[in-house]
Amino acid sequence: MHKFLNAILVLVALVSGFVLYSLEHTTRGLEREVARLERETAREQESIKFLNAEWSSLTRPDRLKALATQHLGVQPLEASQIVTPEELAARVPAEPVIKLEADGHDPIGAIIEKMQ
Amino acid sequence: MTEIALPEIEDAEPAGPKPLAGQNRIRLIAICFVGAFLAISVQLGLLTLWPKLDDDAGKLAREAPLPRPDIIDRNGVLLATDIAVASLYADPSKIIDIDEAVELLTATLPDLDARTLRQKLSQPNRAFAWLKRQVTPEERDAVYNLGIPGVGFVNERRRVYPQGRLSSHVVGYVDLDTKGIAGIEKFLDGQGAIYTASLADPSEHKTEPAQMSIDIRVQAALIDELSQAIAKFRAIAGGGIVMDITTGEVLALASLPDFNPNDEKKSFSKDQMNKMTSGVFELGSVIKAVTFAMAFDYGTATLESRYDARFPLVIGNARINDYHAKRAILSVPDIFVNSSNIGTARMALDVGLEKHQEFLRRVGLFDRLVTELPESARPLLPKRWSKLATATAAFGHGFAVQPLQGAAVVAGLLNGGYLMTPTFLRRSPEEAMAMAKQIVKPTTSETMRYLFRLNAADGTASKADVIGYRVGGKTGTAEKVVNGRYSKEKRLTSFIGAFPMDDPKYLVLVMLDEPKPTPETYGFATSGWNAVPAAAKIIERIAPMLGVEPRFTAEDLEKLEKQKKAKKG
Repeated sequence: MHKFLNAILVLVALVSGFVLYSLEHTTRGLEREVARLERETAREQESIKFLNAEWSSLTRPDRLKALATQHLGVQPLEASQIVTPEELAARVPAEPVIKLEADGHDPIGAIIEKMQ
Repeated sequence: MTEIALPEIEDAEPAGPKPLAGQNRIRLIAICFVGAFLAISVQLGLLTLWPKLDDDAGKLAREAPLPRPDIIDRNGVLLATDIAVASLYADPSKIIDIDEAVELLTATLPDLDARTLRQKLSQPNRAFAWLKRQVTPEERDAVYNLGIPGVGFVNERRRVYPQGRLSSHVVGYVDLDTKGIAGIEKFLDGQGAIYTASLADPSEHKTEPAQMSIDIRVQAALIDELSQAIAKFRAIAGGGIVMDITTGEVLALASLPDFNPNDEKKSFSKDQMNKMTSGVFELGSVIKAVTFAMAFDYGTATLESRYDARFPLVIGNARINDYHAKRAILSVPDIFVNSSNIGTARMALDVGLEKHQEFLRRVGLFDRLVTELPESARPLLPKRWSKLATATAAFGHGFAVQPLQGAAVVAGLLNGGYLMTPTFLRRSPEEAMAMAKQIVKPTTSETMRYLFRLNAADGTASKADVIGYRVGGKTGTAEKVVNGRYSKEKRLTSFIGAFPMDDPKYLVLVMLDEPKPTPETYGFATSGWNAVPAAAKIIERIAPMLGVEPRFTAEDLEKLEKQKKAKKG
């Protein structure tokens, strides 16, 4: 009886020891993972900040203006170039001027069909 | 002796089953052991079943200083931020092959000088030498990959201003220890510390960005047009302000020459100070607007009143003359449109010395205007308030204010009579109204709007009338004081206006210091020929950004046609 009890106790001790060590091992692994992720998050946040600063610097209005005048040939908007929706509506003809579908010729429709 | 002693002990033993010697002691020890094991198992149980959370990590983060808030403009564009930068150093005592190290480093970082680098590395008794401060992340990775022993990085934080000189005066800058020493950066550390603290979230170890009222697109347009005007008229300096008059928010503030806050050496000259707040200037005729509003508000003049401007006004031994002399009896709108000094002085004298001072005090021109910007100058007023002082102060002589303060007062005259302290932070119209002070009656404000619009439609400020945007404005040309006398050659020209005039929302102030006449201006160098056209260009560029819809009357369309023909011809 005594021997049997002792054997069980020894077994229990061994099993619990194994469980304890394996748990600790996984915990350590998880802790390392957490630390790694935290480091990575911090690094990502730093690079987000850096990229934000770079983006803001690259989209500086004075820089964009210089690039636009150099490459696009655009000019500042004049008041007379602004048209209200009502004025625009007055210029829209009631019927489409060119009836492509009636001619059996519909390039945009053809593109859409091709995509489908 | 011992043999005799033993039987004595035998005899002493009792007859029954005797308790073991020291049994009590064993029991005591057993109790102790049981107690100790119990304590251990209870503690073990407590710790495993209800684990106490480890607080140390949080504590450490909380002790570290909170990051400095980023600064963004009203649309969320980044104006200032902290970035981590690595600085490259070397430990010469650990370097094995100096030639190889020099070769590799100069190949990766081309801006390093090979000779000085070799010198730095050839000092084996030194343990530390900076090679390059603040390298980019790409450079850092490249140097890491070289794997040279004895070369390492130290992480530093650096404040950067991505918008460069666009944000120079308003945002300001920090010193090497990231302590604000100019502009809003100083405000965040000093008087605005409570505001800064409200942005911080210590539990997350994060700080919300501080949002300014500045619109960087408007700021860019303002600076661009101002520098073009300065170059065209060979002015020595210039400045401009764009303000939302319904809230007092400053949308743009420029003072040229400016600087780049990212410069390593922050040794800026006096020319580069913020003239809009830390300098006082005689704005000249722009101040007439204040005199007119005063006369209307006290009821001593109406639009129908007439004043004699046939002869120079003589007070004591001083004569007040007109620049655009009409030599006639002028109506009040005529005085405004022709910017008559005589007429304005007479209007002020009609109001009286006492009331003139009282009104100037009411609009705050006796006090220093304090905004978030740390640099602010007190207005310069006549020392003794005599009849002559009233007459000259009426048209802005002997009367110097910070341009921003002038703008704030005119904004108050045009927005219905509500004086609001200008701000560089976001403010809603409700907040603005809660802090506003009524300085003139709404009807007075109505009349002022009419006069401003009239002056831009066909007056001294007619070149500011960007067709469609209903601009109104007042010009000012002040002679600069040189060696205690007013100079005829050196002028300070200014324009202050607002648009759209049917419901003014935005105020524009432009100031040019010593503009010179050019052939295009037919030899004139008064405000109408330089500051006003510059303001027109600014308004034309910023109005679409600010969402002001152009509206055209039949008359406007005719004018546009004429302009088009003139351009073609």
